[in-house]
Amino acid sequence: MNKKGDLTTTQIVTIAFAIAGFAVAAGFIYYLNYGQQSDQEICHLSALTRATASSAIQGSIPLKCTTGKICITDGSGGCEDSFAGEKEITVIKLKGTENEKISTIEEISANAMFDCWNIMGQGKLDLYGSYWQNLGLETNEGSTCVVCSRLALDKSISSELLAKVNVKKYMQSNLVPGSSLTYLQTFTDNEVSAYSSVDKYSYKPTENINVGPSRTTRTEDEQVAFLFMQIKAGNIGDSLKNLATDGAILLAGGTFAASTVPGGSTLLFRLAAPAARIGLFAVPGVAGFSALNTYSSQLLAAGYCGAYTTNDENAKNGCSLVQAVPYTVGNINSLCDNIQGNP
Amino acid sequence: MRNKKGDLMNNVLGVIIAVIGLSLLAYGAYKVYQNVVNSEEQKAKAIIDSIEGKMNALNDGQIGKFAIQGIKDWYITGWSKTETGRPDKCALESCICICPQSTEFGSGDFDWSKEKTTCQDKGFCRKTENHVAVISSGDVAIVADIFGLELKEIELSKYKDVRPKIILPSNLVEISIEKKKDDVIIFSQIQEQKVG
Repeated sequence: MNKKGDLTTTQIVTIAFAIAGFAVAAGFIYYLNYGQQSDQEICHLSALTRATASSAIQGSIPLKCTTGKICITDGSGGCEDSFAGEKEITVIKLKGTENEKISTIEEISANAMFDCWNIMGQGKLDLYGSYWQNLGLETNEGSTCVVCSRLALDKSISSELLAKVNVKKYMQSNLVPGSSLTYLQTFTDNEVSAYSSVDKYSYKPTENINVGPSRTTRTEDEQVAFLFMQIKAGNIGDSLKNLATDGAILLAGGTFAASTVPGGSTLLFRLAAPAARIGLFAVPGVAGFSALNTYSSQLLAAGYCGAYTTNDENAKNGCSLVQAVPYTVGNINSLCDNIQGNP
Repeated sequence: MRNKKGDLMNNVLGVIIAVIGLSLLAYGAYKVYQNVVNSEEQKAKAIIDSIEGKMNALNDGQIGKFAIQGIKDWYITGWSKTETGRPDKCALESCICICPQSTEFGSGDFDWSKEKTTCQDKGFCRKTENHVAVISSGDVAIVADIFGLELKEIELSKYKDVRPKIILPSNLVEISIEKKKDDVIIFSQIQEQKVG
């Protein structure tokens, strides 16, 4: 019997559908708010969104990447020199034996580099497709970067400890978490298990890795940025060759996924001078930067040259690179004409 | 006979559902807009917050050099509380601001009064108790004055069109922040500085 004011079946069904609809809408809004997502997930999602968007709107889709700030300390310091007045700093305190501390620095560095590479689509996404065209420039007029993270080494970490850090070896012999491949194999599509010879590109290591006198105490924090750089080019072989001969890759012992590189010459970078690309850590004998030199020169550069996944038919080739460089204006700007993402 | 109570309940439910639905839709659209359009503003806020933080972290007599991420077509400027012509959002305090350029500095179209309006409407300011000067190497005449005198003695507004500022590049810029007594000087050595 249908009493006055009772709900009819139609009303109940309507309300049920409305509630379900609200739940979907609320879920969508929650998703837009990026509720529980980490900064890395947000960044990756925005990179995917941009790369798969139509070239007409690609430039207007922001990369929602915020530079991570990591401080490694061996005492009570919190990298105040590097991150003064900045927020959301992840402070990691070294614990255990000397070997454990070294391993922690190596692991954090390797992961920072891998995360940067992975989040930005392993260099296979065209992230800046129409960006330069939007500025009224040709596609190959500039490189665009995202500073994925800044890693500061507090002055409480001794130079002796830093000198024993070998990120290169760590990446060659340790597996990426959740993977059966080493960091090196992951960066090179499983093609490479050892680092390429520097002789191949007439590289002169003695000019770059003499780091000057070592000191046991450090008076300043030292800071490295893990940055992702992408550049468009018509000929990927030329791009890779120029990257290598410029010294940007090989100084850091970098290795690329594209192992076969045809010859040619395309100027990819705004600055032609090889030394300028590397900046401070290429300068021999600078005592103030000795520890940073040692540490930075061990960090790898990894890159990918090839066809991007993009909707832009006219700009499918280019090179991407992830590299650790000292966080100074000279170093970063020599690699990056434009920086996207939030500081 | 019509069931008035049932009709009323049906209508009220419909209205409530419609209102909630429309609200959700509007909020969703707003969030989409925020995500797509406001990224530059978020970046600008992050930059000015970072500068404010670094400024506050310095002690009297200290100079700090910092690498700051720039935004193309934005600039940093500042007003001391003794200066006239400050944006309203600075109220009675000194402030540093990051503002979008509305005209090209150094061009014939340049109009500082337009810039001030844009700074008020679209810029982000942070108040400080110190006298503030934000200058770059391009502002030659002002640099000479500022480094020779205490800021409270300088009427920066006398420079009219050459408002002291740091035009931001699209990559990194190094800024020096000097804190002395009641003054804060934010200085940048910019290579290709256009003087407005």
